Amino acid sequence: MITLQTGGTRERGSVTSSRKPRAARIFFAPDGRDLIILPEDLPCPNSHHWQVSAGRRPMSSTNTQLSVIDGVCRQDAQRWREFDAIYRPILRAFLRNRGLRDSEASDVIQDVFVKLLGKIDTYDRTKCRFRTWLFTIAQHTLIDHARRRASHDKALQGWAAEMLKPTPSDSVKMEAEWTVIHRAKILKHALRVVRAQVSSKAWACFEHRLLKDRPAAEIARELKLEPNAVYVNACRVLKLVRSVCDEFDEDMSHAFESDMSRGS
Amino acid sequence: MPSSLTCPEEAELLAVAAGEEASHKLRRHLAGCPLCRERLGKLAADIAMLKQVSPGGFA
Repeated sequence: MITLQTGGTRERGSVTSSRKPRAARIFFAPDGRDLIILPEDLPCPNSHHWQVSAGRRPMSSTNTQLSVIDGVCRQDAQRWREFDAIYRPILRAFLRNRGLRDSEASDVIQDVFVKLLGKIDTYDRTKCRFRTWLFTIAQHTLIDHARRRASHDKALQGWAAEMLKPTPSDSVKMEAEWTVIHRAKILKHALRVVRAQVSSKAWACFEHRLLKDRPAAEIARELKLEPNAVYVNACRVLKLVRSVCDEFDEDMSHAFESDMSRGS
Repeated sequence: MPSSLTCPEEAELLAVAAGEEASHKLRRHLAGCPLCRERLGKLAADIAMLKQVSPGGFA
């Protein structure tokens, strides 16, 4: 059973996962808006800033650097936090694009995370990308939400019907939109992470040559480098960006190529 | 078979993927090495993706 403690004036409730039930704690930030779900046996995030709902067994987090997806599967606390920081905005953007209000999106995101927690053991990366797997969970959660909303508010039946009976082309469109949001968010995250890791000179080579498309010779002059060194530096940075993307099971260029092959 | 048995460094391919002219030696190698053509295609796709997500630089 997953125990939800929402604190303050919020309701208390519980969610039961049908498969391999696992206790979990849910943390709310002081402003009550953001939450993070952690399996019960993991340490809480910064306890000075987060409200802890439950927790009985202290455990230390592992230092092993797993990919984020592997880390989530193995319940690595640090990876859960990274996962939350990355995927909450992705889910929010996707749900807001589907017409949900911000507060509704927050509720649905919470439901998605609870479902994910219950099903994470069933994820098999050899069968599909994590992005696709999570999209399915998000889509089903959205449908559940639409069903609840339809039963509560007949006036919104038009919107609910659209969510409950998507045509194949709607589903394709939704997944394509999800992919774009996911890919852009992961890549931007990777760029932020790598920029903090590399020297300013290496980053300048990468940014000015590959993002801003400035001539290598011009960049080399400014940075007092050989033109070839611009590409060596840019290459190193690009490899790091790829490796961060890989942590999220996101191969940026393969995904791009498949888009191109579909003619988008 | 590639005309040169030694495949080029990634940085050399990146330069070509970014729009620099390939040397005669590199062109000959690429003509005979499908692996390097694939590497080049991947780099070009990476660059296209980067420009798509962060046009004009990364703020």
